[in-house]
Amino acid sequence: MARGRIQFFVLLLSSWLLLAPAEAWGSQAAPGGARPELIVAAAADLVFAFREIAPVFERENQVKVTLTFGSTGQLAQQIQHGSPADVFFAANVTSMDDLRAMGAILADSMETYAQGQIVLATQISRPPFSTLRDLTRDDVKRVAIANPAHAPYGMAAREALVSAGVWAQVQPKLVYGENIRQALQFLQTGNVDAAILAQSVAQVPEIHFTRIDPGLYKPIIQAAAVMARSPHPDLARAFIRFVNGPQGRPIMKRFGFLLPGES
Amino acid sequence: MLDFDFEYRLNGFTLTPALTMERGVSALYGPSGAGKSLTLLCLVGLRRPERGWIRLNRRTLFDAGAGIHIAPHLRRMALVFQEYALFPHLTVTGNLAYGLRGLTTADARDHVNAMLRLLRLEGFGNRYPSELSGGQRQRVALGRGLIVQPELLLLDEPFSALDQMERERLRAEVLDLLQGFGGTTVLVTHSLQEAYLMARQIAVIDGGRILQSGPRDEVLQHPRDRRVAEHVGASNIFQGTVAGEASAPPGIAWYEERFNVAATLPPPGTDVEFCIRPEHVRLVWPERVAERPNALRGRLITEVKRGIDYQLRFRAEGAASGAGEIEIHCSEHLHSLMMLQPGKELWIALPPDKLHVLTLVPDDGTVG
Amino acid sequence: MVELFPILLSLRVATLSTFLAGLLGVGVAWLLARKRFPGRTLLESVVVLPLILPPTVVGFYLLLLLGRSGPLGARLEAVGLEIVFTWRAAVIAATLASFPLVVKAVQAAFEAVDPRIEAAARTLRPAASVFFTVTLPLAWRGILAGMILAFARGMGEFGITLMLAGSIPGRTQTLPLAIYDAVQANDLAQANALALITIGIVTALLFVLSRLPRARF
Repeated sequence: MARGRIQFFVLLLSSWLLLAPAEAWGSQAAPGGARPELIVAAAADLVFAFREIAPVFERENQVKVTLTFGSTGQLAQQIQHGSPADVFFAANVTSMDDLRAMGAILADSMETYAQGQIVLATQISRPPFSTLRDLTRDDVKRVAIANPAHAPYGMAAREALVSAGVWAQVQPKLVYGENIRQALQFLQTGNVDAAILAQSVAQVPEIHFTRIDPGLYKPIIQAAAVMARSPHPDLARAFIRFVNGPQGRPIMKRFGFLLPGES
Repeated sequence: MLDFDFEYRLNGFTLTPALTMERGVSALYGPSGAGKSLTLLCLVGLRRPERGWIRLNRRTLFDAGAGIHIAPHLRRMALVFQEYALFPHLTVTGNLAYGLRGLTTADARDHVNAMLRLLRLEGFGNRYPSELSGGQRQRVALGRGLIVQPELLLLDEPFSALDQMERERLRAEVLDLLQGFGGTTVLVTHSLQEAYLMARQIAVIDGGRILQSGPRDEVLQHPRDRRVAEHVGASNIFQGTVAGEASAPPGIAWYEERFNVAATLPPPGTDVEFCIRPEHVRLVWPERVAERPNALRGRLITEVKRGIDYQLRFRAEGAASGAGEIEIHCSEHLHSLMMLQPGKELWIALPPDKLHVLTLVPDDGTVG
Repeated sequence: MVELFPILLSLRVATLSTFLAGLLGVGVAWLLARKRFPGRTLLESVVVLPLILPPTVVGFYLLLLLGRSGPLGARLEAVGLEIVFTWRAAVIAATLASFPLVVKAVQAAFEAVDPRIEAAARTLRPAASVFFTVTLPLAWRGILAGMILAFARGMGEFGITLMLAGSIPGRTQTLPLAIYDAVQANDLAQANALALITIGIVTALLFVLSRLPRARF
């Protein structure tokens, strides 16, 4: 009787050991000295843009780029607590300033890489809205924005609604996504009637959008920097330069970002 | 030889047994809640008394003052419960061999086989307890204890889970097995009959204290006080006064009667309690009354047929009728011979040598 | 194409955490089942905490403790041992979440073992030997039940893991985190596939375990 049990546990243990590519157990160092790995923490509004940019960088530099997306606030928190990110692309500047004050970044690596824009989006099945005032209509029951507590695009959305004078009417209809990506997902799946999104994530087939008057909100200046604890600072700097350089810029532009130096 | 005297407290209950037990079988007898099993646990070392000592064959197993407390498995004791205490996940061989240490596999196998023979369970080595009958399991439980050759064997109500027939058969077998056992055996039981059948020495325990201990006949026939008398079945307890006359034989005045008693009595005038066992009360044919000392006339109040005998209740006439009922055990044969029935007028006699004087117990329950 | 990494990671995290929770859990369960001691009720409450506290609360305080600037985390980092945002954090999260389940199941199993059987054994062998040769074998069904619960819980751990390990693809993104990420990215096909795989793994485990020999007693 005991034998059957022992056999079972031995089987379990050995199958566990057999399924062991070193990757999951490795520390920060790359497994077996293969390609170095760059961990990029990027604000959620960069999800589509960076999914295009990263593979190009990988090919050209023989490195592996791991992208991890979230809201700027969350990512900044994680960095404070020891996230292994090598480089951080925020959707604002204040978070970066905070990190700089803490000594978490290489100060001289900090630079602006984009300016974001917000748009008012709906599903293609209904006619596009032209102004924010349309959100006060009765047939608009739920509106998604990113969480204004920690997501820059959420803050901008709120700013715009206030400036347009419709905040009081729209606020009860608001649904907060953790970040702009989740807000997008709410709209894509039809769980909300409209959403205020980053233009960079709005170019998906299921929705269409109208640009929101930039005068209604403060410009969303986005900063990036290399993390002080990164084991690959040079590689990290190279990536920032890439995004801000001749190969990265056209891609960023295509996703609706305004670039430093242009406006 | 086992002797101990300790104190153990648990949830407001204080256990203070003190006893000496010789080789052979002794019974620790008492009602539920008396502290019997707790005493066993302390003897074995699974509970640690607050004060006192325990010695087995001149080896100190526990001494609160000296800080000695030997681990249970090193005390050379074995504990036998009811059959449920067999290890259900081990075979009979596994159970028997459990306590064997420091032996080669071959030696261990020999010991087990010898024990299987002794238990008359050859061929059962590979069976599991669930495949055995109650009696067989009990034998294995006993064998598991004996095989380690302990100096003290503790049996905790081992037969209570068995039916009547199995119980009697097993008792005989166990006594047989214990013949070859040279150590001390303590049998814990709440059955007086069992205690008497199996043990030479009986210790009566109640309320956490040993009330009386001695050879079994001594305890049964000469209980020390009322409490013990009640426990050992000497249920007819009377109160009287010692009658005083220097010339006459010793006697006790009870209501209007004067009983002759074949025992040394306290000085005349002393109030005494005395008792007689129900089976010693004699039923007397009316024409033979004059021959019998300590005769009483009265009436049969109730009778209970117990299959093999009758349990009668008798009330004396006259002033003594206020004394309550006297319990009498009477054979079936005699019952039909005398044509007894409730309400019938009856004579009984209390033989002087069967009247036993109890120590007068003060009201606080301490033994005088 | 279904991503393999989260599956492998979750399998290994769950296995390790089950092992750790089992080791710790059996010890604590035995204490609670057999011993009386001051502070016993306190221990029982502490054991149940991860079960009743919201996972984010547990994760938050763990992050404070084990994070870079935390009292424990800083020291561990000094000797080169990183916890937060690594697979180790995922194991810790899963272990903590499974621990109360193991304790409850195993404690009940120990309590079901007749103490008289142990008493009889204690007169024949030292206490430690009795534990391994009598108590454990008699309680193993309950222990196994606890381990199954622990494994399932470890496979599904989300809230604490997200706080403590983050959801870094290829590093700490376990199966539940990957599902969540897929949903966020509106990749419902991937989410579905991963969810079905999770169900499949746990079901397979239950099936294998139901085929083990039945106890005789």
